[in-house]
Amino acid sequence: MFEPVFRAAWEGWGIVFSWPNLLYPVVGTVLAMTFSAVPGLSGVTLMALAIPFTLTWDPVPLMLIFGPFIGGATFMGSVTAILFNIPGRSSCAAVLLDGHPLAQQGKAKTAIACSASSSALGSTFGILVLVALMPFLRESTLFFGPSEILMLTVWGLTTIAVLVRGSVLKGLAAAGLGLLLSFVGQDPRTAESRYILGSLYLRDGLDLLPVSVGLFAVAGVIELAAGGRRMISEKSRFEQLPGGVREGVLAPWRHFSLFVRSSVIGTLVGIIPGVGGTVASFIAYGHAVQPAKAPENFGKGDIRGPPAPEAAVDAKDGGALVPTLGLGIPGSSGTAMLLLALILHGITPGRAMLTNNLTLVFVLIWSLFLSNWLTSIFGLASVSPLSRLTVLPIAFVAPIILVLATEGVYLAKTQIEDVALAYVFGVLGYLMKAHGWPRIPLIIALVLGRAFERNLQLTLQLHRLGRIYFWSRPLVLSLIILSLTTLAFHYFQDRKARKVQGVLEL
Amino acid sequence: MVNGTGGGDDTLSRFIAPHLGRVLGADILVESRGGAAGVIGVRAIRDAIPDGLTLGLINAAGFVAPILAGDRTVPNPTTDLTVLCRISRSRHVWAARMDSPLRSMQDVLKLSRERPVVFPISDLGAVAFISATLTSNLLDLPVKLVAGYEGSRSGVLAALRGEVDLISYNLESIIENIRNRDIRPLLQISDKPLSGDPAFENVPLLGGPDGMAAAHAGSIHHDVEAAKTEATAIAALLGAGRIVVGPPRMNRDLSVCLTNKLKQVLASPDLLSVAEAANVSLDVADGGTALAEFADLDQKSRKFIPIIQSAIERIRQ
Repeated sequence: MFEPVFRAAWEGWGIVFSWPNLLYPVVGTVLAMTFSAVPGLSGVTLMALAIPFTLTWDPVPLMLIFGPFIGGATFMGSVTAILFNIPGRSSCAAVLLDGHPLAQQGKAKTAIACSASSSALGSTFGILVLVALMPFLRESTLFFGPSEILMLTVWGLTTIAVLVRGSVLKGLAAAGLGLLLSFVGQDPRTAESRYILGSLYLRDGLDLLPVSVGLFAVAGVIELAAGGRRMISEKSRFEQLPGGVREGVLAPWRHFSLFVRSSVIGTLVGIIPGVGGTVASFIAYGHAVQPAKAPENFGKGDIRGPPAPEAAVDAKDGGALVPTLGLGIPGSSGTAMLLLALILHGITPGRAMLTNNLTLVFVLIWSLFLSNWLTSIFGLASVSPLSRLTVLPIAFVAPIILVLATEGVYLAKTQIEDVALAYVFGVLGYLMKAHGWPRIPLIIALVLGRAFERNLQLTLQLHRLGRIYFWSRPLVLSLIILSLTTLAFHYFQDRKARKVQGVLEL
Repeated sequence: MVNGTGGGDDTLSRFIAPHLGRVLGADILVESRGGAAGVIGVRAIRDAIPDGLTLGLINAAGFVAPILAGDRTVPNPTTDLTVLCRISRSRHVWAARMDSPLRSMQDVLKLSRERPVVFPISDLGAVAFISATLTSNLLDLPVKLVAGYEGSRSGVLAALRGEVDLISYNLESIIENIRNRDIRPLLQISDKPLSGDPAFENVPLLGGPDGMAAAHAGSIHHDVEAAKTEATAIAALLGAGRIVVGPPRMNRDLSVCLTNKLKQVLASPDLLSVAEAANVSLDVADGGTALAEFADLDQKSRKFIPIIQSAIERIRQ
């Protein structure tokens, strides 16, 4: 069973790491990095543009160049998130929750280096899982149904209980607002419009990119302008910046168990088609907070914050290839474009490809692997010049942030309403910050609320029809136990803390 | 482009654009205006100046279906746009997972006598909803629709996981799964064969003299001819296909010129090979023909409105 897989893996490795084939992933990585560095653009746009040009190519160079396009430069979207609070794409929004506060502490170098190394390690994890699952790709994909996704989102939502400690009412109100906002749009079952105020634009619900850019980047600019701060970082000179690259690179190793758990979450979410990197990154972030000592440090520049979502988002790319290669069903928008390119080259993804073109599959996998490492290496090399941006005067940086935020939000879907939405959430984010209302519960509830509702509706319908038995599914039961344990753990921890506080006050 | 970046329509537009640019001697920019299931993009085309500088590629069935479902926000391709050319037709099939006990339509009919047949749909305006509702109504099959699966890919997975009995999708979206022998086609919603693929051998047609609709009507002593006509109307409705449109009230000479250039482009060998590779069934017709077909479809499909409305009511209750 494994012998043909190993042989094909070895042949694929030889093809990728031979001259001049090596040029394709390198050029592809540079192109993907350039695109991904512009907020609002991504490898998917690049693939849409590349497909007509690559039509006459042989399948091998096609796979070599599409590897980087699928997920090679994901980490670049986190760079603008860390430096300016602008997520390059919505899946990078969770990175800014602690990444930007680190930059504000002068530790941009540490945060970017941490993201770069978590990205390379996370993608490697996802790819290793993909290779290990190669003989069972079909079975792995079919293991996750709506009830499993539902409980995964419930587990993610329990994070809110941890995040609201200290300001319970405000935190729960923010999470409630996030859940309410996630209901804007069409009911996933009946297609009836809810809370859309007669606007077609709102029919698809609130897009996460403008919301997160507004809540954090635009609000950040208002705060910078209003607060009299002179630069993003607390320090005014580059030489004074305290964080080091080494500390960042080693962060995923120092918190290795967190890194592994986040990568597992990313890979699992990647395997489930249609759930997406944003959900993966927020569940992973939540998971970083849940069992942590001193969870109150999260959101304020905790070094454990960036590696969890970064590793999850990059591990997701390996996971997303599982349904694509196993069943010909894309697990993400990037793999949907890959599928199209393969079909246009006369290659049938799925069982036929695994039987007849396994070496080609590994060419794609190793190209993606190489590209992720190249992106991280390029990213590490540019840490110093990038972190200098945090000591530039606010008068110079703030307008650039606002332009980048506006451009990023507009470019993603070329809808001017997205820009207006970002600005509305910018004001809301600023007011929330100014009055001590936490924004993280709002964004987590908004991200997970939509997936929660859709899968709850599906689970209820299937359960009523007798198509699934909710209580007899092992993964569902495990996730219920995990969610209850998380809540109980924090309840008892809180009680213990209150008792200690009571004794001290006595 | 009325859908987001990526996907079949976007790619097709990007293939057509350079060829069309060459024959028109113009630069063509492909712009994605997705959102609200394409309504935002179609409205942008409808509201543009009819000077030939704004054209759009739309999937007509995706708009006809919500109109029948009572959505008043959706522009009607026949009255709100200038139809320049039809590019392709859609081909709908019912299919089941390969290891399902449902190996033929006879098995489906047998199952339907015991309990309703379960289909996945995305929502109540989706083409899959119209297809499952109208076809099952014609064959007197009791069905249950599970709404909330996003697109054909989620629906295929639902079938493979055994959550639903059958799927009803455009052949383009599921042909790879059929070729991989993950799913088996059971019914061709057409009155002529939809594919030369070996998997379609012995797969019954809905319409035509030997189709399921006629056979069923005959077996229960109903009007066979009426059943055949209805089957043809369902196939025409679901197969309305991709059309190139412009804003309404476009100058006639301009629209004829654009139609001719489009037809010239669509006959180029490059595009034909791309379409074949992408499993797009090119079926080019000029705007007048496509419009006449739509008008006919508009008339014929009115009788489906009560069936669709009642299915929507049942689900919303």
